[in-house]
Amino acid sequence: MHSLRERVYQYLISRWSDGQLTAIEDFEVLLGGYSKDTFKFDAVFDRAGQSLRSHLILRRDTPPVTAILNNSREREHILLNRLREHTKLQVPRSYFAELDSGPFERPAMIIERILGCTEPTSLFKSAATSPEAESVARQLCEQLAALHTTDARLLNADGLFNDPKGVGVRCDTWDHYIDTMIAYFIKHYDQIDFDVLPVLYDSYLHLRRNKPRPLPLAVVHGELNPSNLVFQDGKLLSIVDWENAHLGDPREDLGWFRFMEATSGTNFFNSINYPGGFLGYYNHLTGYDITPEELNYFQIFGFNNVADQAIASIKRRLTGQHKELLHLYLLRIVIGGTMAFTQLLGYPAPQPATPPA
Amino acid sequence: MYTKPSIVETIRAVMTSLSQDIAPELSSSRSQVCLLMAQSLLQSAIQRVEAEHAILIAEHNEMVALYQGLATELGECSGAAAERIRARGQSFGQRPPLPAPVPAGELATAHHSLSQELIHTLSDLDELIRDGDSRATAALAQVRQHLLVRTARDFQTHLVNPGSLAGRD
Repeated sequence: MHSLRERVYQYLISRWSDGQLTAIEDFEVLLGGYSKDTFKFDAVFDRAGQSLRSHLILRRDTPPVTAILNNSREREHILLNRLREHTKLQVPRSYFAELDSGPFERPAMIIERILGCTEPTSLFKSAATSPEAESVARQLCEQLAALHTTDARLLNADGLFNDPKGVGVRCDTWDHYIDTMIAYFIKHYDQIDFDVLPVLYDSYLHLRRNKPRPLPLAVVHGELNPSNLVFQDGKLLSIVDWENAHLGDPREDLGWFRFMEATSGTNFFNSINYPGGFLGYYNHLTGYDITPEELNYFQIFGFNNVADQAIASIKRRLTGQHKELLHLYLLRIVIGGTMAFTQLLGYPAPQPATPPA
Repeated sequence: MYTKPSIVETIRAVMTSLSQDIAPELSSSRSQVCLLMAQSLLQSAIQRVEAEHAILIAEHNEMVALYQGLATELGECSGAAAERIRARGQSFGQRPPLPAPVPAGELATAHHSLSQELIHTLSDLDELIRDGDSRATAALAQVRQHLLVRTARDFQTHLVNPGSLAGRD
């Protein structure tokens, strides 16, 4: 059997259009991406007698039973190229989406590898990097605002990003979107309850009882977290991992990002020197006037939307459908998430016992 | 408190990962031997987790009976050593026996069945709140007080290095 590196070479040799491909070099696993198998490599090619190299990534689905996020490489490929065509967002170019499992054993895509730092905590280890952190936070905020105010018809004219999970979500109005998403959370509970999860269940009912005001639906990243940023010297070079993108409420991206900051040890949200910080600057750019209470609501909504499939994969692990260690490690996200929910939902602290008179 | 995965299931998952993810990567014979020792110790930990509580209680109660029995056996035997053994019979031998533990599986099942009813209770309270019953809001606060305490326990008991993710720091 050919190694994956040889498979990549065989795949690209007939498809490479920029000169003559001569080698695949520096093929290595990339750590840190939990939801997909990710490998970095350089394609070395000859153009008019000059040897050049292209920095690339092979991003491959995991087997469905272990999949933390089950989604389509084709959809991600199309979105990346639409974003490059219709917006000024910094995203990697996607070259190929291969849905046939022949070449790489499972569906995969080959995308541009942006060279830069992918360790966001490095911006928050000392005061010396505060200006760089603010610069990256500000650019992120501007790019998010640009994404969320882009006419959804430009990116989603064919409805490709309506209900990409295929769970019956309706995107014709904001109310239908939120209502069908929450109905899905409630119905899907029996797919995630590896143990009894009353705080999560309570959160679904809270979302249903406390819907905020509507905002225009937009194509959202869907899993925006600090690890999905590539930056260097204070410049945001790229936002990556668009696999969970969908037509949704713009506040989902803000909510999930805010939520993941607590897990990731970063503080982009408080790094922008603007009244109201990140949220204030975002509101200034979009005119959406999102309140902290709405942000809390969408932290809960965003968590449930991103984590539903991941928790289902944990349940499959605990019911013996696969034997990956990662999924037990990811229990920490459920435990940390439910702890955060108790605060976001305003759970009351127990009253101290009254001493006898 | 989460009861799934159990402690034993968690250790078994680590053992499986050592076999399927780590062992194929080990090149030195020293590291391979270390892996075998680690797996042996983890298996030992599983056996202890499953048996230790019950064994300790059984042995505690057996020793109480033993100290009683030794004092009786020696009867009126004279000498300082016999006095000390009779004194142990009067002290350690009079300790009340400890109750037998509830088997871990049985305890988890009992706990789980009550926890499961919290889901139905939350649904019922939601229905009442949506119907405008303010007493249901107060009742929900009671449930949430309980959930806050147990969630905090889970956070303290289960998590190591909260705020970090392996491979992403």
